[in-house]
Amino acid sequence: MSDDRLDDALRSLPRVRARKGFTDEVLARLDETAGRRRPEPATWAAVVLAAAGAALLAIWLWPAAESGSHLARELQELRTEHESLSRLIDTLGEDEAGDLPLLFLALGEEEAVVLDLEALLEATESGRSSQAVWQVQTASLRY
Amino acid sequence: MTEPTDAALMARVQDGDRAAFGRLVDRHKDALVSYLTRLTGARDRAEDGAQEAFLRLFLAARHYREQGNFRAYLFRIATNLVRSEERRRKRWRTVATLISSNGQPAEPAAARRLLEREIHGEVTQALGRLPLHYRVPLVLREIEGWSYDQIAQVTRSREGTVKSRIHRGKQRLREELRGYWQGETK
Repeated sequence: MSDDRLDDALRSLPRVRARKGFTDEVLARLDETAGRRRPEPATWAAVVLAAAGAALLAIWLWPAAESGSHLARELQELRTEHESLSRLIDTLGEDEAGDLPLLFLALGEEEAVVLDLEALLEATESGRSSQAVWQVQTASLRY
Repeated sequence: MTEPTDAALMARVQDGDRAAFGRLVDRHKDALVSYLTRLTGARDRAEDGAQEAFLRLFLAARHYREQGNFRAYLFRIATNLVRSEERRRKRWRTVATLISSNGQPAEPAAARRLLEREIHGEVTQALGRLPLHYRVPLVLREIEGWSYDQIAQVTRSREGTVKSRIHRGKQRLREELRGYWQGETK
């Protein structure tokens, strides 16, 4: 069979026209469809998924929020402690013009054990051994 | 007064203008029904398919983006409908084969007998046996007279692919019709 013969056969197929009233039928079907149209399954699925997602997110975030408030409390406590220590350090700096303080290692009614930070600093800087811890009479200490 | 373009009508359809939609239907119904008749080999299926395609066009109008190829867009909707229907039919044929003695789907017998006596019937049937990816470009090109570029827009493929599919489709069609042309009986 030649190409021409096939082409002729294809092109000789009669044109088909839409039946009379086709457009009116389409518009009627459109009215019908619009009248009973419900949200598409995809829309329903999206709504259900969104709701489920929101619920899961809430469940997931709840402990995180709890944990977040716990962390916030700890952070606030640390800040308070930091401010308190900062104030103490500032106060120490203002004491007796540059003197390093004594640290009480033990404090009894009669005796106390103190660490002389100035002696410790000198010993560290000079490389020589030096006594820095003293046992003293509590009554002899001046406040 | 000049006729509004497809693009202008479609813009009005996007605003829900039914009159504009009706004009689009009027303008393209014959071409679409003719195309689908050749594609499906059945006039009734073609009419139903064309109506369904127009309905989907209206309902999904908000997704339409004007690119100067409204007709290709409409024919693509219709082609996709036929593709889905053919898949369903194929599945049904598989089931029918299992439950019937001859495995043949029901056909409009009277119309078929009439058509089988004529060359148009033979060609139509041969066309119907072609795989859809050959049939669509072949019908659009050889029967509807579309350009390769327009067909490429409908099938979302390259022009080269369109040409080669038309060529192969015609080869297969020729083989299908060889017996008929040589006067053989089935």
